[in-house]
Amino acid sequence: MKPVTGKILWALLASLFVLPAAYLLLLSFSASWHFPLLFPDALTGKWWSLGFTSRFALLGSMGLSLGIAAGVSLLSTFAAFFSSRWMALSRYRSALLLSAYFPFVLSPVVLAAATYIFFVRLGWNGTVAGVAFAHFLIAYPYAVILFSGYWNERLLTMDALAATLGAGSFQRYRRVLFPLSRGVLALALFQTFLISWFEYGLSSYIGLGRVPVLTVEVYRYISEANPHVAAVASLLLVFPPLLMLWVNKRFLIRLI
Amino acid sequence: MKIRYLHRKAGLTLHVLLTLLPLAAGAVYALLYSVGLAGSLAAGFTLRYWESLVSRGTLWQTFAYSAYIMGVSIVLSYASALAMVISARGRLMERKGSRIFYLPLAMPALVLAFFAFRFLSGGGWLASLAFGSGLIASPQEFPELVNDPYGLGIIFVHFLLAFAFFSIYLDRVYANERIEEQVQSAQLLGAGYRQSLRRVVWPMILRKTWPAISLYGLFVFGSYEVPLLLGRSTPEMLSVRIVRMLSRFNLDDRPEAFAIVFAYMMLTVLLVFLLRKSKGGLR
Amino acid sequence: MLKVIKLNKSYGKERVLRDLSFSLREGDILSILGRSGSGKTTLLKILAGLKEPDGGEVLLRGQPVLHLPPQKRGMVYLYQETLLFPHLNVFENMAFGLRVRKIPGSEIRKRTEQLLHELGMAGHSAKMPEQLSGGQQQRVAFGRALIINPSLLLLDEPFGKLDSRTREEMQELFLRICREHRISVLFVTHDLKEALCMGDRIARMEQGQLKMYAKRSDFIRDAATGAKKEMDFWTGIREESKMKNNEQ
Repeated sequence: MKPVTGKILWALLASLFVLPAAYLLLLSFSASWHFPLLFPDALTGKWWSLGFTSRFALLGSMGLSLGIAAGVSLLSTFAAFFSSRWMALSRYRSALLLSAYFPFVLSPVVLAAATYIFFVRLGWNGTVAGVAFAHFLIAYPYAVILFSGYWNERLLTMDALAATLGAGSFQRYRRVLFPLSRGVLALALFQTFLISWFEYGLSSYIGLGRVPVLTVEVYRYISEANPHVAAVASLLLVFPPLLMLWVNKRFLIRLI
Repeated sequence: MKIRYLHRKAGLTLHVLLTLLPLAAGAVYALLYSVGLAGSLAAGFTLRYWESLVSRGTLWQTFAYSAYIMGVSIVLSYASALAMVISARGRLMERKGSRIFYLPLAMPALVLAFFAFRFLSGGGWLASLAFGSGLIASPQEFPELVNDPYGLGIIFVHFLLAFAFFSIYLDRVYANERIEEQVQSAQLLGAGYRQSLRRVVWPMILRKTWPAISLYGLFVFGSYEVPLLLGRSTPEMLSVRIVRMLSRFNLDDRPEAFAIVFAYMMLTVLLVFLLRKSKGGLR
Repeated sequence: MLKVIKLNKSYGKERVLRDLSFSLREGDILSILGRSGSGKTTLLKILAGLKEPDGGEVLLRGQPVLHLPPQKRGMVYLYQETLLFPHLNVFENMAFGLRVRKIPGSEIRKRTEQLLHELGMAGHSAKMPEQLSGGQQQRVAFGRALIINPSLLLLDEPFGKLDSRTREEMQELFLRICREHRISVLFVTHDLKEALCMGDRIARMEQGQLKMYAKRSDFIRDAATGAKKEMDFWTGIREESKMKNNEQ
């Protein structure tokens, strides 16, 4: 490729990638912005302040999303860490791993539709706990798949060696496995957090719109034709992952 | 006495319960519902919902349309990402500013779809631009890019997401598989650059990445919020169709929706099995 | 002090250990020679508690141990790879066994420093494993095992990856320390010379059983060990060069 063509292409891509965030940022600060204006007629901070009033309560939504995502991420990461280790030592390793792939590849909202009746029977539909559990059902298999390649022969042997040196199960987790796995644990924590944080279909289906997580709110403002507040909510949704990108871009590469 | 792994059996049982049970229960329920054996309206075994789905062509239409969106999005994004990575010789991510490739990945699909709607619709930003430059005289003249029959808006969003993902991913594969070295040794053996692309780079990368391609394809196939905002009611992608049919009050819609759910679940199971059976597929 | 009675283990159809029995006295070093795949590693892993036998009994100082988890047996298994914990420095690697036993810090320091000194590693205690040479890593791995006063050391070709000079150094150091601490050792190797110079007694693994040699001369005389062939080879060369010298 010629350098000039390459540069133009690069600039084009850069603008394509930056455009959505930039556009939404501008939209959230514009008093009004409609056809055929190329730029908003006036800038205002009112959507942001309005977004946090009791009528919109975006702060509450953000807190709720944050709470659910944090809980789901912690629980699914550690549950998957343990079960993937057990799986690595199991005769049925590949079958057990395969079972994690099914919920992983299925459309979350279809999973919600198919299992909704059970949530109703348990009284979990329309509740925060129900939504969190539904998130867990897709975040956990993801984490299992993430960890499945991690338990290699060397790590398992080191674990066995620690056992012959006198460390019991708990001690081995504390002194060997957790410290050695800090990197992969952080990765799983962040990614399962994102799965829950980004999830819309499952949340709205199981939550019946009564659990106002941030994605559900974004959709609500879009369908209520309130694009400015929707933009504010969208930016709140994008903020944590952007922060992660700044901390470690590796955290964002994931398959969902 | 073997080395003791605390609660191993209980843990693995729980794993199976968490992964397979909801799915199996959901599939059984969907099947029973679709043949009139479950649900509040169950009136005994019948195949009429399936028959009506098949005879009206709804089932095929939904699957075919989802497959079409999946195919186009994946082929476009994969091909462009591969072209970028190859022309950068697997050093795309070493370039200054390459962090922007991660930006779309920081965006939920819902937010990107919202942006795409504001950007591509008849009253959107691109239309404003066309109006301002005198290309169109009214929003109605602007071509349909969202809620259009070809799913252009949906494809646009999936392309953006998948292109970013594949660029980063393929770049890493190119470096990890030492493809540049393979190209050099192919050239030492007398292959031209084009030949080495065709005989070395392409097969090596495809072999390494097709499980990821397939998985990504399945996500696009089942995607929900993007077609929800950017699609139209006919033709319609699978997840949206299911949810819409389930939320309607028409008595026949629910069993038919569950029939689609069941068919989709079986298709997924089949594909996962095929993926695993095939060489170099899932671990 | 160690008594192994009729140990059996199969993987599928393949019987790796067949009624394997032997015993070991306190403070003895037993070299076990055998080809790869002869079941040496399986034997050590069963003793350490990392694998379960299909049948048989293992007594340590008269007590059955097969029902005990590895951390309760006091037998340390050392691999060919040193497998030092990469997140711990030399001192903490050595002290690992004491830390998990919740021994007071002051005593840990005293014992670890003493052993570091004994192993010639006193100046390296703050280093991380990747900063050490192969031989140094081996010393740390060895020290990490010794520090808990194991009832039995199980060594699986521990010096296999070292170059020949370091290997000899380590063999000497190892022998000296084992004698001083009177540690009982099972030493698995496929190297004839190493088996001969390390072991008080020598055994050979064959078809799932352990053949013990009462004396070294028995071992050398047994054609199956290959020792005889090896000696003949070197003797032959000596004779040859002698003859050449005589001709000149």
